[in-house]
Amino acid sequence: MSDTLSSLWARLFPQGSDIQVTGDTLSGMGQTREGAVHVIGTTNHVAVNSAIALSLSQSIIHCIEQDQNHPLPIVMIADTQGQELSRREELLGLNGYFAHLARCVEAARVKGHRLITLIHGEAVSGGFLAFGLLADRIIALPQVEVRVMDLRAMSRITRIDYTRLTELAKHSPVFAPGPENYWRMGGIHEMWSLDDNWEECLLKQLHGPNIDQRPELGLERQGRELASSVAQRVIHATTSTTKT
Amino acid sequence: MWDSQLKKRQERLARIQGRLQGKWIEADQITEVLEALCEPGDRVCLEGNNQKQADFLADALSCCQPEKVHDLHIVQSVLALPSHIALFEKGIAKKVDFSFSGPQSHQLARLVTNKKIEIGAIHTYLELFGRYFIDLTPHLCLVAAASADREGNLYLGPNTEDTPVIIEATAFKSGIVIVQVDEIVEQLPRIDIPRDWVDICVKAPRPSYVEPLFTRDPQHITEVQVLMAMMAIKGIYAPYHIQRLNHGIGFDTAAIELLLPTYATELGLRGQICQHWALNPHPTLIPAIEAGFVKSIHSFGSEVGMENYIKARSDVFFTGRDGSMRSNRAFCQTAGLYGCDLFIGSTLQMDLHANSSTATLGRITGFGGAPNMGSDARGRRHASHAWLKAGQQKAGDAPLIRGQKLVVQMFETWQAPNQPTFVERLDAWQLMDDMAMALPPIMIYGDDVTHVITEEGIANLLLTRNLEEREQAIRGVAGYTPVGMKRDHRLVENLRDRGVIQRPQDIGINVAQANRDWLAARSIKDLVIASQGLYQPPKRFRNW
Amino acid sequence: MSSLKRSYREASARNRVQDLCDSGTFNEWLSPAERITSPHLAALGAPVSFDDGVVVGEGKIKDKRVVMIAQEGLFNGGAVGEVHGAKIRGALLRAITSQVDYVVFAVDSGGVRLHEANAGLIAISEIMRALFSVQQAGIPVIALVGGSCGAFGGMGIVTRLCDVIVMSEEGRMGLSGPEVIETVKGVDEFDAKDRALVWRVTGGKIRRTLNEAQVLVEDNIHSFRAALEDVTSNKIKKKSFTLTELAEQQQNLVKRSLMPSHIREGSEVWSSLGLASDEVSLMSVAQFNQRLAETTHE
Repeated sequence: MSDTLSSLWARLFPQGSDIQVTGDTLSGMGQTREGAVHVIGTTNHVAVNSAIALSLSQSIIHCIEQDQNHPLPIVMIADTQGQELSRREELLGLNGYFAHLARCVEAARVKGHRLITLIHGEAVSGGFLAFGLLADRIIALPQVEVRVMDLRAMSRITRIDYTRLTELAKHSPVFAPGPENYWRMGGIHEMWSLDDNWEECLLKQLHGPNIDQRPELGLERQGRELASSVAQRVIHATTSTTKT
Repeated sequence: MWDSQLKKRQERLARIQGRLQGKWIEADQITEVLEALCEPGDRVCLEGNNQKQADFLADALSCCQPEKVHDLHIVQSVLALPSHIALFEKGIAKKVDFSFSGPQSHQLARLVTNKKIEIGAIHTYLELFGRYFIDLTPHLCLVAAASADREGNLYLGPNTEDTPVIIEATAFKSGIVIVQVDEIVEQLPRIDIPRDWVDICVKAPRPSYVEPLFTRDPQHITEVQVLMAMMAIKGIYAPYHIQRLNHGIGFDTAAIELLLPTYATELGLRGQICQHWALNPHPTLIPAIEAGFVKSIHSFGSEVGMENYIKARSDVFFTGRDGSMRSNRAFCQTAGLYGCDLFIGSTLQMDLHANSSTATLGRITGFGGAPNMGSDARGRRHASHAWLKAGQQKAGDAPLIRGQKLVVQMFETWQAPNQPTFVERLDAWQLMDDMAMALPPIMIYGDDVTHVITEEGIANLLLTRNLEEREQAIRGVAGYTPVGMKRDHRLVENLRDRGVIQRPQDIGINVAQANRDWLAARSIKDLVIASQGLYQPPKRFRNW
Repeated sequence: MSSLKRSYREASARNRVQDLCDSGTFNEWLSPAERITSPHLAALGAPVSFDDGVVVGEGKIKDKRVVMIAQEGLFNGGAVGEVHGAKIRGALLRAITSQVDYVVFAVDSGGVRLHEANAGLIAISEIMRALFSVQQAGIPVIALVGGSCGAFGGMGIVTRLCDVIVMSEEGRMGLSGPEVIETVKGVDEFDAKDRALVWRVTGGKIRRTLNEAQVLVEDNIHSFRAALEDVTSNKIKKKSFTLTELAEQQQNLVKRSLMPSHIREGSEVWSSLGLASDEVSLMSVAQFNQRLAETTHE
């Protein structure tokens, strides 16, 4: 196991943990003052493929099976560079594997498991979307990267000048990589620093509502001002036939 | 003294006697054989068609040493391959008489600018074929055949194109006929050229190149093209009862072909229009054939992938006893010129006299067959409903002594942003100056054009009484191009009242209904399905 | 015109919705008249659209009340941005409060809109959660895939969350687009210009073969509508969150990933079922559906 993971467990679970890394996935238990939690996730910035998605979904199914009467929280470690780019994976229907994983995460929530994502390393688009981004609470650890695409690639594809993008990125959180941007938009609930006591921080996350309030959070933090209001406008829109 | 050509022929053949086994030589000896046969100043016809290319022989000729072979006079219909250009760059040939140079048009212009080539004349196909029998008879011809037997009898395959006319002109004027064949077989499917007309055969290392030039993917047909196709069918084909016709190869005319089984059928026109065609086997015509619209098609050449379909539809296509297609450019051009009542095609530019041109600056493209198809055959005598009606419209109140072929130009008012199709002055004039030509390269002469169709409407030039009306009729369908903006609105409305200009709504076409749902096939795959799997499109057109 | 095929693929999102619903019953929420556009596109000088590329509203299909969501593939590839995503999320939540019979999600999207990538990524995860809520409320969601952009990226995942997927042969579904794979991994991995290959990997027939799409229809709006009527006339097999069902799906997916590793495209899947690729591609949808039923006896 890498040093960074060992030190992560040490800071999160000073009372002890038993977490195995198999290839690029990890699973096990951590002990907190309030009791045990499951730990499931990926490491090594892995590109998530069908095998890894299946391993994660299997781990979640295990948690649900084990805890039928007393669902323990699940700490989800997100560290992915995105999905694996491969023709074979596309043929298999990687999106379907991801959807299954997402459904398992949701099932755990329905059964009463508290879901907390810790971004450790990097969290990039597809691999993040079907797993870490679905937790009740999403936390960025220090020095992590969160993004869909870096600005150079974005500049190439959108044909928008790179300098212009970097200039705009100074003021707008909406497209540039970085956990701060996601925090401002409500996509990340908290960012922990090295000075924080992570065990205490984690315990604070174990309680609270499990409904999706990220649009409102984005509004409150002034990083995403339309997501909440537009959805509300749709919900309350008067019904009038459009003739086009 | 009166058989010098025959003696020359014997002399030439004697020079290569040792290399021949019967009529056959090995592929690796072909360049040396050509070097031995050719003499400076020889007229050489290198078979370059629209589609089929004698590419192996062209390569071989371009590999000759210029010290041995030089100053040839090339007489060929289409300059299509880089090796055709190389002949002039290397000095193997110095003069050319040709028809069309599509893919090499830029290189050709460069050769002219660098004085590496002397252009005798640029012809239409029929003119060039005509001159093969008058003053441009080849001393040698290098042609392509699908297969040969050991004796040198030839099977030309579905892409016959120019081969018969070239061989005829060469073989019967003491010339030497050299053929590259794709394969040698014991028994030919049919004999298209008897061995007596053939001097030398060589098996090419690879089959001759054939370009699928007439395949238009319906996926790329736009709603504007659908609209114009509706106008062509309802505004021209129906009122003139067009039964015998030729189509250009663009997406505009492909749209018409795909609207026959839907729109034209809905108008009750099945059997009333479009039964007889001079046309290559366009895949986009498959749905109309299957719908029973089409009675016969004679073709200039074939089209890659259509072989099995043609074989299974011999009521429609011209085929040999073996079932494979028989095409012939010379005959089909004649059919299009004299046997058809309508030509419809597209262009890049049209001026206020309705002269149209596909010439672009810096390129010499030539003409091909469109000017033959798209001209009134003044030698025609036989009457038809369409020919008489158009003739009467042109004659006005004067007694009718001759009919008129319908020549329709159909295109959008803009080719691209900043590139209007309607112009005050054709680029062809500038090109004439740049390239020191005798005349501007005009594809279809304005005085042959009877109708112009754009997305704005149809202009019937037959009904205009004077040059001013004619100009306003053109401006009146020129949309928001500078030419269109300069219209005299009062006069244009007057022309519309008289039916000289017809807007879509004037002939009962709802522009909102002009959409791709009318297309009988919306993709190449739809065409394959319509053909019951008989059409086998080349890979690049397949998305399955 | 009524006798003609009306291409689903070539229709606009709004036309799709109007033609899918009983005539005149569709009411759009936040229609283009309200001009709700993306400020993020405007900030980058990119063109905006008055509906931000998605149509949402309620209509009736054979007298059943249905929330309709339709992405417009012609605007920015149907990609999801903040406003676009919020409209979808709002429509899903409204399906719950107004207790409609079902939701139709006409997906036509390459995934996240790069001009507002962070907002788009978060929005898709919010759509996923809203979609789960709809399903937990007992309301089925039916995905339609037949637009020019298919269902890719995050929207490929969302599509697979839906209870039923109706797809046309021309429709495409996956996670990473072929162009992205080719750009990163090279043309040998995936030749994105080989359109036939793209369809054999992502297209409707192979997705139906793998039972990811439950219904395969002709590229015709009327066929999509007929499929909706058909699917909803019986009790829809809804997806649940029970352990049994998750375990069963887990097994199915494990089994699929055991497919021999040389299999990298649809024709190899078909040949393992005893079907020739060329034959499959030329079969009409009806023929294909029949052959598939015979071959796999589902």
